[in-house]
Amino acid sequence: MEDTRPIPEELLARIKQDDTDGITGKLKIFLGYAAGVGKTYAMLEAAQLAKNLGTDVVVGYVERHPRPETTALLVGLERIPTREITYKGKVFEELDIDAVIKRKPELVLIDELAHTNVPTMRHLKRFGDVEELLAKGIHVYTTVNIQHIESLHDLIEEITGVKVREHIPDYMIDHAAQIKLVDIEPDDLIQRLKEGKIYHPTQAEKALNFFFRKQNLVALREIALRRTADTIYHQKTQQSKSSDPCIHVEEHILVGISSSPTNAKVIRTAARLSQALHGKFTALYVQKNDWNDSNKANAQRLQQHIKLTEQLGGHVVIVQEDDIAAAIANYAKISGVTKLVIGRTALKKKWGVPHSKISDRLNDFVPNLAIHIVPDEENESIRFLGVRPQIKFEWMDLFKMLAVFGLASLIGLFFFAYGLKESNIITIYILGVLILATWTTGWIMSMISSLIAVLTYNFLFTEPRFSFEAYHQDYPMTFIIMFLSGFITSSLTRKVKEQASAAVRKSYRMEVLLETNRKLQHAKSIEEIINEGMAQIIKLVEKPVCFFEINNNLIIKSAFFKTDSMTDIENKEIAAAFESASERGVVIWAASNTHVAGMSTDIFPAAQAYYLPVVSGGNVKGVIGIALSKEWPLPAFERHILHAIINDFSFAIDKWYLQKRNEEVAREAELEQMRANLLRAISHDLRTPLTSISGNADILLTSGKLINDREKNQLYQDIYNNSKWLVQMVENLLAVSRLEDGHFAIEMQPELIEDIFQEALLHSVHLNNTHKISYHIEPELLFALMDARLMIQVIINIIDNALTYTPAGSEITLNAKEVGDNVHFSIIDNGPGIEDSLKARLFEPFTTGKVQRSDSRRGLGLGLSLCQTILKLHGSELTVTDNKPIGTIFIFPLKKGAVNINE
Amino acid sequence: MNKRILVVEDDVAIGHLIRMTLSTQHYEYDIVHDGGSALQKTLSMRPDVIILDLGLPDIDGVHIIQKIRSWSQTPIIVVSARGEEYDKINALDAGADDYVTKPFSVEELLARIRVALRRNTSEQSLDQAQPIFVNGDLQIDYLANTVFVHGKEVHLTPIEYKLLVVLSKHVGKVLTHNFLLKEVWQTVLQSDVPSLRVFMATLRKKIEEDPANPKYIQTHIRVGYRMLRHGEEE
Repeated sequence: MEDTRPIPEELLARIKQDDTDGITGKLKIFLGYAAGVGKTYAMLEAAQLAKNLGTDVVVGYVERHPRPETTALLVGLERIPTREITYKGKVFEELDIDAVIKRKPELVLIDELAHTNVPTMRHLKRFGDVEELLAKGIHVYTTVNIQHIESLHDLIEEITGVKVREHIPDYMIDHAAQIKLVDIEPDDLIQRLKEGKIYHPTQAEKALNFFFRKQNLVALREIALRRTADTIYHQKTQQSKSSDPCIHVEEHILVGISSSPTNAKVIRTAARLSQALHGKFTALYVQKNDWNDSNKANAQRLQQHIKLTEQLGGHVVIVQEDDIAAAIANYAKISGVTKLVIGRTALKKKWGVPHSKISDRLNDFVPNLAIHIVPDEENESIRFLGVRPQIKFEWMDLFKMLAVFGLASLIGLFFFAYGLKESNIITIYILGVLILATWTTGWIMSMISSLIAVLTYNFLFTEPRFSFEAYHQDYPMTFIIMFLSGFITSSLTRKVKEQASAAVRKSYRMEVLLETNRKLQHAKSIEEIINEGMAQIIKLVEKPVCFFEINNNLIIKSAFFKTDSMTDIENKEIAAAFESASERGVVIWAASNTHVAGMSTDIFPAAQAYYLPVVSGGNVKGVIGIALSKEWPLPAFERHILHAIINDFSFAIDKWYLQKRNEEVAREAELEQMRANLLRAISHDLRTPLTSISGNADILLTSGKLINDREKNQLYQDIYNNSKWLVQMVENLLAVSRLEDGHFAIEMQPELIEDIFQEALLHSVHLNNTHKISYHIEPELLFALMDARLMIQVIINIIDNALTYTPAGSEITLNAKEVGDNVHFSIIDNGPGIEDSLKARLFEPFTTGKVQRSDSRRGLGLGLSLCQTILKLHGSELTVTDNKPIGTIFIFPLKKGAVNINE
Repeated sequence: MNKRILVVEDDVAIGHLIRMTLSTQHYEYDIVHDGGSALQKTLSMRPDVIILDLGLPDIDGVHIIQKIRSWSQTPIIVVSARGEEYDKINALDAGADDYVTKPFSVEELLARIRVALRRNTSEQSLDQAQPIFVNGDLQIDYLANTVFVHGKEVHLTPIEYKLLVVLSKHVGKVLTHNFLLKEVWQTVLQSDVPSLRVFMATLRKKIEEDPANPKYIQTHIRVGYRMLRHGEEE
């Protein structure tokens, strides 16, 4: 029932499935209806068969059996030594899961799926171990008895009268690749028992009279057969679902969740019903507005019920509404619920509460809905255990009461002295009770304040005054009415107040969620996403949080986020706990298994925090650790909001990674274009100087004697000039080849600008002494972030450009100036300037000063376009403007380099 | 007596160019084409300067430098192709004195050779552990920890002074960033290179007459710094 599982687990499970499809192990369950039917025997037989067929089989754990036939089947099978764990002075033999993972067989045998592990082990239950092994791609054979299946266990309890403590969730059975029902006639089983093949004879005698009564066995056998048949149906529908996604009319079963102790039974009944009908299973929790989290027993039970529903394959929905019937009816209408399961106790009429017949009201709201009423009263004796409201009495409240009634009495005396009517005085007192109701907490205070109001009035104003007696026959009635009106108004006020505060709390949580979405969308860097996401989680849970960045199932780094609702010392303690090796082990487990772990889960329940993996693009990018406290795990509503926040958070991370990739791809494409253009330009530009060099050398070699010295000199000079020009071209080519590796080749470092200018001038000036070149840096010791070699190339190209296109004697000035966090570079000449029509195309390759490209003028048409590419890789841009009164200015900014001077 | 120069170069054309250049300057020279004969020739010829191409067919250039440095302090000028900065830095760290980058001009190579030869002679005088270092108008008194330019005392911070001393002790040689960091800060952290640049810049402001055209301290971008030797004749 993959689609009815709860949201986060469901997501994780899906991802897990997608990820490891094809390599997940297959589970085969040998299902029996009672001990002694021969499950282990059947499992070992199957294992021997598999081994003979060449499968790599090991025995992970098999119970010691008194039956020699069973023991004989173990011969020839490799056994992984069990782990001996000492817990509370006793030695337990447990499956050594790590040894099995290390051995990595094809198939492992693990007896007794429903076994509860010793608390120091990784998983609370053995089925956790089995799930982990399956996820690692190891096939598992296991055994289980029908009474251990979660949804069936109270049914079986009713039939047999035996309480079963160890349960396995239904999805284990439903998702198993194969179910082998090990069946035997009940008579034969009883015979076996009598022969002492199952228990020792003394125990067997007891068992015969108790669990192994024939009618019990027949009933259990029937349940087992039926459950197996259901499983077959389930598998069939699952297969058809994947191949044929047609929508068919489905039953949808809704059950109400509450913190009532009888509720678990109702949930199980509903789960069984949904299984039998193969329908969708949803559990609805209606949180009342005046619900407060002060009762721990209730909250804990509610958590258990939610967990139970999830284990049974149900989807939990939480709504906030005061009217339970209306909430259920609304949900049923919207979600197409066909059947509602409700406990009988929930329908009982309570004293003083109007409209408590929920079934009647539901009938009014949704007449089409089938309502199943489940008897659940046998446990009712424990109903009020720990549910008693706490009577809190605070000195502050007493003081408030004194002040209010003091004032009321003063006003009353004032009225009395002026002869106003008594009814006015009574109203004053009721007003006092009302004010107190808004000021104080608890209905006990309402009662007390109403009573005191009556007594004070009696003492001060009724004849005889200053005594608690009252002569007039009207007074008793007056007192009763006064008390009742005081009590009722104050109760109502209190309720309004509580509703208001609940609404505020709820809207705050919702606000946190909405804010998360907004903030994450605005976050620009991965660090910002993490910081914002964690800050929002802390706002919600008010507990410290730690984010572990994960790569390849290893923790790369962790960031601790403290909460302001705790002291610094407490925060530090928790931060230290997050650093411990055992907690990190849990983090790595959660990351490598893509599963929640730690406190309040079944995996590493002893851990200090609750760990949730964050999945992005199929990989675990991080694990969030929330330091919940043992006494107070997350309430249901908060948990839902938390999962919503984490969903948002994963999406934000996903988006960021995607964006980063897209940017990389875009940049790659741009570079690719640039390289192609440059190479075309270069191959063109190379021909001219090469022709000149080789041609001149040829003439000198072949007919050198015929040429006079002056002409020879000219030829030498041409060879020299052209090769110089080629050198410059090669420098640019080298820069292009550095760009080829993408941005990784760029080494950004803070560089002293003066060094860069000097180096650039060193390469430019000796080529040409006809121009006046100077530089100016403000302030002198200015650093900028750059790749020095590429930036020198940029400056050389711009200077070369100026040297080529300005007449001899022109001035060229290099400037660098600090502006905020940037350094503005400008290279200024006072030459003839650049035409406006050319400026727009200036940074495209093949553009030279002349519109018609000619081979004679050797301006590097690609120089400026290379500069532009390099600067873009620096996150900057080259622009050109006119110098006043004449000339050109090339401008580009770079990030200022921060230097910490180490003395 | 003419100075002897050993050229280790496997490329025939470049070897020819260097030979022509050296013969015009009346240096005595010999050319070998691989690392093995380079080591032999260094022993038999006892050259004053070695010009070593880093990309040799048989032995890695850096390895040759280490071998030679184990018994000789002969100045070594490394010839490397551009874009191989790490080779250059490794060669300098291994004990090479200077480098030229292909394509180099003839004048450039000759200038480097002159610097190396001058360093070789000054090295001999330095062996006598002179308490005062004189280079052009720059004067360092190692005992009194004072520095004079044009006979006027210059006040340096402790780090600047240490830097200047390290440069002066290896005058004529290109010192890598790593080498300077180790000598002055005792640590080699790439993150300290920017602060090295700051101190070098402030030091230069104090001892150079025209910091835009430095006379004593030369910057080698991405590689290191060198103090140039100024003889009395210049």
